[in-house]
This record gives sequence, C-alpha cells and structure tokens, in this order.
Amino acid sequence: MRLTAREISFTYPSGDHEVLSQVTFDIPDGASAAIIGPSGSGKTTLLSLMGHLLPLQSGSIQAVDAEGAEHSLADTASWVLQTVSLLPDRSAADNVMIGAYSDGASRADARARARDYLAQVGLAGREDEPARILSGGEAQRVAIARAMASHRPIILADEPTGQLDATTSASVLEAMIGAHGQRTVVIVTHDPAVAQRCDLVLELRDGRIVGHSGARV
Amino acid sequence: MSPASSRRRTWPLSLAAREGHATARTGRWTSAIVVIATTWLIAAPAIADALGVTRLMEAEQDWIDAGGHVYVVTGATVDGDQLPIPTSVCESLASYDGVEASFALERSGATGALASVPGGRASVYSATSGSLPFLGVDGDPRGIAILSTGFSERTGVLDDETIEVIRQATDSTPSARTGLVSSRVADTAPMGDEFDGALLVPSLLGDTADVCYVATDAARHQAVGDILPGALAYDGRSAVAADRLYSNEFTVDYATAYEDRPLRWLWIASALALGLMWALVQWFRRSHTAIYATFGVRTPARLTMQFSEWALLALAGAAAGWALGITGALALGARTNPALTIVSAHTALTLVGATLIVITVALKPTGTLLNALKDR
Ligand SMILES: Nc1ncnc2c1ncn2[C@@H]1O[C@H](COP(=O)(O)OP(=O)(O)O)[C@@H](O)[C@H]1O
Ligand SMILES: [Mg+2]
Repeated sequence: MRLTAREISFTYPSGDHEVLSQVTFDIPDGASAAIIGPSGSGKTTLLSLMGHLLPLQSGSIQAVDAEGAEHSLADTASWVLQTVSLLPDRSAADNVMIGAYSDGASRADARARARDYLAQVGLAGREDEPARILSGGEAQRVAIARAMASHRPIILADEPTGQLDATTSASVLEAMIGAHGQRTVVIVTHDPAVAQRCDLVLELRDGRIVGHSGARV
Repeated sequence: MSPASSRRRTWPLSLAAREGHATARTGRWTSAIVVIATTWLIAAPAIADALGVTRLMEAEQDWIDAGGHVYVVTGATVDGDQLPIPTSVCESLASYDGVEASFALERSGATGALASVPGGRASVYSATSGSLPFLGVDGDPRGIAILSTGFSERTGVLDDETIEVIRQATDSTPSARTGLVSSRVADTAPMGDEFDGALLVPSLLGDTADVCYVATDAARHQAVGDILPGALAYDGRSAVAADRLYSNEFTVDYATAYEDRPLRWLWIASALALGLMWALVQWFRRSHTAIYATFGVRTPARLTMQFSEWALLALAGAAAGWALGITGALALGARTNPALTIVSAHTALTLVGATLIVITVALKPTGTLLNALKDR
C-alpha cells in the first residue's frame, strides 16, 4: 500500500497552537519511512492521525493499493504506541492473537501466528506469561508482534525500539520492516540507527516537514 | 505470511463472547470484586427484607390470634334494650366466601363447675358448634366442652380428659349437667379477654342469640363487615358489627404494610451500585476497550464482549447471593416462604436492573482512542 498524506493541519481542542501545519508526503508501497524531529514537534500527533486514533481536522490520509483504490488506514494499518498498550492480565500470546483476530484469523491460526511473531521479536517460549509481568521492552515487542500478526499492510510505530538495546532493536526492526515490499512501515524514532535502516526519512519541526531524504525505493 | 488483507473485518460475535469470558476469567481482583459485590448487594438487602416480612407475618399472626379480623355482631339497641341476632343465620355465615368461622353465643353465662374438680368455678357459656372451628378445636360438638387456657391452668384439667360440667341454676334456668364429655383446651383470646377462665359448652341455641362472632380472612374483612348488619338484621332492624379489636389510625394494616415496606425497593440501590461499579471498571479499562477498537472490535462486538464478561461474573455473584440470601435469611429466623420468594425476587430484580445499566454504560461513546490509550 502506498501512503499519501495531504495538507494535514491539526490543533488539539484543548491546545492553543497548531501542532501540525499543512503536512504533505508520500510513502511508496512496501517502503519503510522514519519520522524524526525534536520532542514536541508533532510526531506522535501525526502518527495518531494516520492511525485514526485522533479524528482528522483537515487534509487527507489514504492508503492506495496497486489498483489505485483508496482505503482508510483504520482498516489497513496496525499501530505500536509509545506507551505500553497491552491487556495486562492476558498472556503475551492472547495479546498477539487480538491482532490476528482483526484479520479474521481462526483461533488455531491466531495461536500459530502468536507463536511465530513472538519468536520473531525474540520472545519464543514466553507465550503464556501474563503481559503485566513483562518488562517495558518485552511488552513493546509483544505490541510489535501483535501489529505484525494483524497482517495489515501498514504498520505505524511510535518509538517502537525506545526501550530496547541496540542488538534487540536491530533484530526487531528487521522483523518489522521485513522483506522489501512486504508491508509499508512508518516509524517515529529518535534513534539514528533506526532512521538509517529506513528507506526514507521525514523530518518534522514545529509541525512542518522540513526534511525529506533518502528515498531509496 | 501475506499481509495483503485490507478489507474491513469485524469480530464474529462468538469470538467477542469468548474474549469477554477470557477477560472475566483472567480478571483477578476486578472479577473477584464484581462477583463478591454482586453476592452481597443481592444477599444483604434480600436477607433484611425477608426478615422484615417474616416479622410482619408474625405480628399479623399475633394480631389475628388476639382477635384481629373478628367481628362481634349484636342486635340494634331499641329503647335501651338490645335486640338479639338470628342464630341459624349466624351459624351459616361460615359458608360465605371470606368468612372463616362464625358462631352464636348466649352472653348471660351461668356459673358452673366441673363435677370432678372441687372449687373450679367459672362462667359457663353456651355457643353454637361453629365455635369449634373458630377456636381451632376438633371433635363432636355434642361430646366436648371447651376450657379456656385460664381455666385449664387454674384447675389443672388438660386436653382430652373426661369431665362433666355442672351449670348452676339461675333465676330463669334450672341447674343442668352436660353428662360426661371430653375436655378441649382452647385460647379464647380471639373472643375477648373476658372469656379467659370461662367454660364454653357447645349447645343448640334457640332461634335467637345475644351475639354472633365472625372470623374473616384479611383480604375480605371489610367486605364481610359491610354485609353483616343486613344479614343479621332482626325484626327489620340492622345488626351492629364491631371489630373485636379496637382499631385506630395507629393500627397496622398488614396488607398495606407489606406493600409499603421500604426494604422491597433496596434492589434498586443494589442495581445502581453494581451498575456504577461496572461503569467505574470500564472507565479504568478504557484503554483496553480502545485496544480492541483499533483491532477491529466495533460496537456490536464490544457490547457482546462486555456483556459476556458481565454475564459470567454477575451470574456467578447472583447464584452465590441467592444461596447466601436464603441460608442467611433462614439462619436469622426468616420463614421459608417469604425467604424463598423474596430472595429470588431481589436476585432477579437486582440482576435485571444492573444489566440494564451495564448495557447503557456499554453504549456510551468513548473519547478519542488516543486519549484512551495514552492515559492508563
Ligand atoms: N492531548 C493533547 N492536548 C493538547 N496538546 C497536546 C496533546 N498531546 C500533545 N499535545 C501537544 O502537541 C504538540 C506535539 O506533541 P506530540 O505529537 O506528542 O510531539 P512528539 O511526539 O513529536 O514529541 C506538543 O506541543 C504537545 O504539548
Ligand atoms: Mg511522541
């Protein structure tokens, strides 16, 4: 899926200034994009608008498939939030299975996907542990596995590797970005190594795109 | 893996129900608190109400035992003389709907004694055979004499002893003996305190008698009272029906007291408390709801999920509350009949009321997903 964002502006109802102004960009199908920028520049807001976690005020965000048909990201994207967002009393596997269920997976299929993706983020054998006893980094990896298990063509991730060491971060990133063309991934990050690995980098400052680089696709 | 799916998918309701059950089973403290709260919010008010109703029933029984629901009917007073009442009409009232027993009595009691008991002197009254069911006595009216409990205590004569009542002569009647009869001890309180210590001899009275006693059931007491003056009229003059127990504005009307008891509405408070607690649980868990929402759980599936979780917890709590309510009420002295019906009613009403609130809460729209996901 290709991602197109057009003239997105946003002001929080409770806020006093425009957090995003006229943000426009394209991310090609199957590409990975890093959104970088200083704290408070609007990265989380932008990602949340893309993932329909916040209602859009102006502009448009669409996923466009190979035939040119447009789709809402509410149905085509999974997200990984900056804050831990698991069901604490459910097992790691149960949490990942929720992603698979959103794809219409059967119970058995969802279980298989949970095992598979938990292994991909380095959590093999931890399936039955309740999410509440996982460390922050482990919980974040479960959230990444959940997003992958949804088999949605787009993943939106906010600082997904923020709590991981460099080695784990690199391997989780590989799993998430996957083989080229497999899925379109948008990652908000502070980590130059992560930005380096992505196909393109969008730099946000005070709610505007100020840099657009490395379109390696 | 083929991340190609982009079509709009929602959760099948069966999956949502299973997920709700899983939430209930893994809910630890939350689930335990909901179950325990349901149990007690059903059991405690139900026990209190069952005990209250038992107390009402006992008070009503005491009142009936003391002569509640009894009319004392006498003839009209003409020129200072009281007219009699027709004996056979009085005796036949017992076959009317709403009348439980009736009998006619000759008020002018002679003094008498038992042949075998020296010194056991008492007033002796003649009453028609309806006095047996009225006082809860069985036997052949021709073969018994009724001893008030006061007389029995005074003389030591108990039930089913062979006795003979000797009636002393008065100005108008000669001395008379009943012959050998069987004693029956009865509480004469429903007839009036003045009969305590007296003897009652079932007799065939003449066409008329001094007074007619009519015991009614609670529901038709008033209706029966309305027809008595006409039914027992003598010589074209209506009789006078008076309640045996003096009643005034402070007299408890048991039917109304049962209807008006405040405890019967406690289930509303329980349902509100449970609904509020559930709303609170959902509020604390709004991030969970948001997680599901971003993974394709839309309103019907969300309702199903929350409802199936609630149903599992609430049914467990209600079953425990029902059992605890019944055992608790019985252990604390409630009667079985009100305990069963009242605890069951409280259980059902609390469950239905709380469930309606739960559904309302589930239908309430939530804020933006980001807010729900962020503040946890
Ligand atoms: N819920 C909110 N209400 C009002 N203002 C907000 C809210 N969330 C974020 N902001 C403001 O919006 C701006 C951008 O925030 P954010 O998108 O979180 O930035 P970043 O993720 O780049 O650090 C900041 O000035 C922040 O204070
Ligand atoms: Mg942020």
